Amino acid sequence: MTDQPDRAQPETVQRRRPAADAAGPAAAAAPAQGAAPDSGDLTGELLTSDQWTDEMVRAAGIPVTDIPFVTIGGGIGSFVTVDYLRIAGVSTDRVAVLSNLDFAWQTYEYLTRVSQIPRPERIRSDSASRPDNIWGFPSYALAEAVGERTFAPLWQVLIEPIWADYYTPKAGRVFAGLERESKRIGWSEMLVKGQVRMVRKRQGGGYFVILTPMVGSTATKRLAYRAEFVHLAVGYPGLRFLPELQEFRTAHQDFHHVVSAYEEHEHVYEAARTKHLVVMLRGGGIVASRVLQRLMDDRAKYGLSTEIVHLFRTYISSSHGPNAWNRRKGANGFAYQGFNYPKSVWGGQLKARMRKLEGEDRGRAYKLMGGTNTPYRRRWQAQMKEGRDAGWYRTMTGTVEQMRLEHGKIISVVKTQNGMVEVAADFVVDCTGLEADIAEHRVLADLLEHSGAGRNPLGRLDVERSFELRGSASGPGVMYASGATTLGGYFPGVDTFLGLQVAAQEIADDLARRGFCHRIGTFRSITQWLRWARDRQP
Amino acid sequence: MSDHGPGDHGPGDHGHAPGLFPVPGDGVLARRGDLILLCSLEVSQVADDLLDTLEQIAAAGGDGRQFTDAIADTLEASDATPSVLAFGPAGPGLAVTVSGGAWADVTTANGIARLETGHPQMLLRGALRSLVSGVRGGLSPGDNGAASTDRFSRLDAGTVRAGGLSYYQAGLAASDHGAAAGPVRLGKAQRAKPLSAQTPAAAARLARVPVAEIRDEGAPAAQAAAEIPEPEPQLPAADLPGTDLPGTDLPGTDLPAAEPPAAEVPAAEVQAAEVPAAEPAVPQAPAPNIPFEPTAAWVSPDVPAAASQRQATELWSPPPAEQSAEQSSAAQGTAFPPGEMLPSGPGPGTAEDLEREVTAPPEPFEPAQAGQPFHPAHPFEPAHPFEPAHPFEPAHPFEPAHPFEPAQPFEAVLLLEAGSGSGIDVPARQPLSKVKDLPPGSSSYVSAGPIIQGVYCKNGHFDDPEALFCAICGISMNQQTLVPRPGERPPLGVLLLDDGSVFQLDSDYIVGREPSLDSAVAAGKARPLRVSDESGIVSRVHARVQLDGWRVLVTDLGSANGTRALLPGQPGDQQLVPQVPVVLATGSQVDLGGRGFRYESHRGR
Repeated sequence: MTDQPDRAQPETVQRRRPAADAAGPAAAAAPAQGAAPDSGDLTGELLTSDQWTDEMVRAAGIPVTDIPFVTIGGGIGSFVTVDYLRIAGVSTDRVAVLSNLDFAWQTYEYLTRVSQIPRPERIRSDSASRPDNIWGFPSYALAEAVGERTFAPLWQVLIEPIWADYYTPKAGRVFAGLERESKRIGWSEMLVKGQVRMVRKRQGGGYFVILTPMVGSTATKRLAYRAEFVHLAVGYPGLRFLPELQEFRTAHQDFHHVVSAYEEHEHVYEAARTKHLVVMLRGGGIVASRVLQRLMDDRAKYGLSTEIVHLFRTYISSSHGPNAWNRRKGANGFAYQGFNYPKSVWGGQLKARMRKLEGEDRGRAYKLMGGTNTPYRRRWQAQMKEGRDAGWYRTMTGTVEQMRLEHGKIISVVKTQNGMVEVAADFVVDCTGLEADIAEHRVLADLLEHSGAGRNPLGRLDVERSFELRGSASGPGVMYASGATTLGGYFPGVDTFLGLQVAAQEIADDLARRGFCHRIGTFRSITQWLRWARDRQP
Repeated sequence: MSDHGPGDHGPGDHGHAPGLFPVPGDGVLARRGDLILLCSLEVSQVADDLLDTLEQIAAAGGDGRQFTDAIADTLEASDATPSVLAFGPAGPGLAVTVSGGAWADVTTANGIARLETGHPQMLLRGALRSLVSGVRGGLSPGDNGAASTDRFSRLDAGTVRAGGLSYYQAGLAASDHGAAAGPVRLGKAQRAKPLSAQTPAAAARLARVPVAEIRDEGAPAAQAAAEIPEPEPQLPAADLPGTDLPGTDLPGTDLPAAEPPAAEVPAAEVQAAEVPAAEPAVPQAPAPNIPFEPTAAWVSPDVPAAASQRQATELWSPPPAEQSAEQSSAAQGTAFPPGEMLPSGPGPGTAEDLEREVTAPPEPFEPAQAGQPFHPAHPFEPAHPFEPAHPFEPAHPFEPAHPFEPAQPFEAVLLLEAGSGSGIDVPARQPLSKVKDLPPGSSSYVSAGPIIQGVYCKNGHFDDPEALFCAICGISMNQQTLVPRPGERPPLGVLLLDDGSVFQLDSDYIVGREPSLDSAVAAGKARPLRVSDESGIVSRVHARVQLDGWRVLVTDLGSANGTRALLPGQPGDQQLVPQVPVVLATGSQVDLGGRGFRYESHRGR
């Protein structure tokens, strides 16, 4: 079921030409090539060739649009990169954003919301990491202080992390900022909705990007974008639910006794409000701590009797690390760290050191700083302590061997050091954040196979320090990648807001060197910031 | 679960009036002579093509074989995969083509054989070589057993709207239902296991087998005993497959090929076996090792080629006359070849059936013989191997629903029991499902969802077209071009009552103090969800929660005090207009007056 679905387009689908304003820059160009209706699909020759000629694409009847810069993904990674380019003087008609998302933060908001970070809650990100503001000024804390007329955020930033928890912005503020910036840079003008099918090198330089547009929006089944520069920011190929969960779901067609924290599971909290429940949590990361806090908050707020059994695969009982300068706090099962990475990866010594490491050394360094962790938040700690003392919050260590449903309870058979233990719960919330392999992503798998792209020591896409995808250059054309798919490169924090900005800056600088855009120097930076502050188009 | 509702007539029922009887539904049923076509109408162009095909073949005087082949060819030429059941007489037996979500229960002297692809994109062609007394069929697995035919609406020729059919051959009422007398006593569990490809891999095995010669008779398992010295003389030895097959070292190798598969198997297909003519001692037993080379077109590309080669003729078995009691007992110790069309007991389960099943649980599923590969029809290994000692968990009230039985309206399925002292009144009742009716090792879930349009994730799971991530595996849905296709609807979410009880949304519900009074409950179209309310504000039949495609609707059924719904993101709740459905979004709160419920779903938006 990889390519075949494409041939099974239902006959009843009405195909009509796109409205002039519907498909952005593609609209005008698409029918211009005169492709006959219902043709324009990928041919066997195209599928098997690493390099395509203009003639091959024309012969297939696929309409071609020339756009110098195409970004694939359309999430926050694409957004931050395009934001940089717009500020560097690139007009909207020279950029196409190919995406299945309606707005850049759609996936991000969905995942944060269901994993218990709704808009009023705080995400785990630094005050100055602003995907909607390349300067990071004013920071979220300052904006919050001004917006809500309070000094508290500023005070917190001043005394963090010793006397206060790290300041982190509210999700709602982040999304509102992205929305404003999205309008300012004309995101919707650049956005072309559809599924990107593949990227192939073009003979003579540059690339062809094949897009399957939304059903019925175009005359042909595929559109081709001929681009000199291609940027890949497709994010995670998806979640990977635990095998037990998948098995349970397929076997029982039961989607609510065992849930993933990365999907909607409000019914667990709702049920807890109506009766006594035992909830089993699995995982020790940020999402586990958020779900745990939601259960504990609800418990306190509504006077509930919810019991929580928390299963860790690896139980962290104390600080850990190779030496006194390289140590992370931990207790009660969790490893504590303010952000996903040690703060020094974004600008400190760790960033400098990582830039020089290659191969296995880099892999080791990643392993050292990696590992599941969660921020230490004082209120949450107090709640956990209360739960431990009162006995309604219990932890255990082990792996689940089997799950079954018995009298409305999920019985998890847990393999612990002391043998098998059966734990009965009303619901199991799986908070383990497994990620699918990049080859699960169709575009990336195609790239690995046909475009010379390779994998880095962590198995993700191998990129240069400039975030150029190694081995994929095509004449003067360059392919870049940023975001989670490039984790394991010279810069560690790629899957964070700041990491995306670092990548975008490197890419913009590289493109400036190649003459695609202006360099963002002091003068441009200041004038552009003023435009940002006044909400004027770049 | 019963395949046949008590009010329904199985195809092999004694004395049923012969003829073709439509079951009301959304598809189209056409008959020309003895050629019969049942087709869904999602893709009307294809339906037209199929009807044209029927006309042409009938006009040309073609038989069932030609007809079903032509139907299969038409389907292959099309991009769409409607649900289609086509059959017609072929020699003494019957040729059948089944595609999409369609199914057929074919009754012969030896019981009922279930034909279905189990996967919406698969196609199954087959020919039964023995006399067929009746055929029941439908367009979606969900309607299995739900509808009964009306003996006054016989279709002798022409085209009508229908969603299913019952067909009885004149003068051929099944001679013997008593699988009790048959060679193997199989519980309905096995019988319910269709000759089907319930998974892409298994589907690929069955799909596109050029001609699956289905000898329907009783017991492949009996064959597996390899005690049936009944060589079929017309079989050229050169056609015997097997030397380079895993079955070669079967213990029964030196037995005469009792039931060698298929002189009819096209030579080209058999070549793959490369059997030296000098090696006739083929373990014929379950005959599944004939490596057919299915043509690629309809085989899921995800399926390894190896998996897609094989076993067209799993369905061979000796003619009934040869089945002695000894064979029968011998066969009891024998396990099933995989993916088999299993011999069945009599049509509807009888009390005797049940008793036998209880007292003599089926034997463990094991490869019949060493060296015989076991291909379970399910890709997911059962969590626990089937253990006869503790074969089944007791049925629980939260077991998902089974195909509806019209005459036995079922209750709401309580998923999470209410807290103590809660007001919910869930009357004691029989469990919904008999877990022991299921294939060992399989889930407690019997597919009951209707076939609707949805999309498949890259790992082949059927999902809501609006979902961002697959509900089964979590992969992002944009890893694949999403083309709407039919599939079996999974549960859409849950209803959470205000007392903490949880009901899975895999069926419509009538909510009220006495919901059983509603005709939809009586007709088996909805489950009653009884809420107690001493204040009397809640009406006896208050509201209906209805599943429509991927949407969940609520309708006030003219209740005395009305129904209010608070949709997420809206400032206030709204009064429902009686009989006007309102679409519920995840997180909606419905207020019935004294009581209420929420709709929650894993399908986030």
